[in-house]
Amino acid sequence: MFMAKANIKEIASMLWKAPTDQNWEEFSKALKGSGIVYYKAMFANEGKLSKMQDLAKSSVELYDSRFRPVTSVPIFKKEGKRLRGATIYLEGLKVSNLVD
Amino acid sequence: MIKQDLKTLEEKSIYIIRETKLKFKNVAALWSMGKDSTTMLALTRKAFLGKIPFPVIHIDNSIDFPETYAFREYLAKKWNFKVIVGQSEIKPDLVGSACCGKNKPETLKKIMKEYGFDALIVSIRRDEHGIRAKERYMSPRDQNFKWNYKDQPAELWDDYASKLDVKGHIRVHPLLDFNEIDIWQYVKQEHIPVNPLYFSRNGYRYRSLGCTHCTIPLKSNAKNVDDIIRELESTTQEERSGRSMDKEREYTMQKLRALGYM
Repeated sequence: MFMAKANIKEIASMLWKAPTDQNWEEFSKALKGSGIVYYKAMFANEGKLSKMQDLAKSSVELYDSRFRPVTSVPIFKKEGKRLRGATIYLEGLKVSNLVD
Repeated sequence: MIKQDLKTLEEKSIYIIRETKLKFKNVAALWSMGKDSTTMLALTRKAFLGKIPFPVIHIDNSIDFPETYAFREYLAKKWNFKVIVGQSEIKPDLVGSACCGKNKPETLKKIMKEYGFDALIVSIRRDEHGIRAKERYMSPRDQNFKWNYKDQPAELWDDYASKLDVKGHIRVHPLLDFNEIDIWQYVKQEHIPVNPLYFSRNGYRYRSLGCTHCTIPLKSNAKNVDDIIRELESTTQEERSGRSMDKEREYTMQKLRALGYM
């Protein structure tokens, strides 16, 4: 479990540098067995996104089964110059409404 | 909340769905994976002996909930229907009402043009919002998707506007008469699968589903359909109180719908 968590943290930091399709696929594979159960989408600037920077700062926080934060990943992926959301890669996780 | 006769509601909806398939050449339905559009698909299956005889469109802004994507894959396989996914780009300058008012209709416009659909079934209900209460069962839209809510055809004696005067399409609303509680009663009666986000976890649940950006959960302990029905019987809270775009300004929703929002 510890190794799996370490691995997911490495991939998460890779995603912050390059949110490409390939890295997201890697993340999706590593998610299974990582002990991550919950996620929460966090939008920068209190959700009032007005600049590209606000979107780039928005993230998905990932938690284990006891709501302990594990890591965070971006909420988007890059397709060339285009930004697309990437929540589809979180399939299998449960939305957490408990953690503020 | 007033409960209505489910049999009467079902018969009317099935009649409208069948009329739509009969009167139009190329029909599609919008599906958000929410309770209303999933109920519409269940009614369609009932109308056409277990089949959904037209494609179903999901306008995906790609920040929907992962549970929603999983539900899309699950139900499309279980009920065996074709899903057209229209992906829209995220633009940070277009958020809230601007995001829904521009990104989603723009993507829908592209799909409508590409496939040449002349009728689009949308699962809105009159009790959801004041502006949705102004809708007709069959409502014309021009080629720019604009809706003139001040000049709408009368629908007397089941005579619907199934012919277009101008180039555009017709929006069909077979669930207009349903209330929120009727939808849940029908979900219970017909054992319709629904998105798990509607059920309470950790004391919160989603009552109306949008994307991760603009949907907020509400306090609730309703863990199954029976609990939800009981909760709705006594609540005074609005259904869309967890949807941020409804709160931005007065008439926001009216402006959105006039511009083509679903």
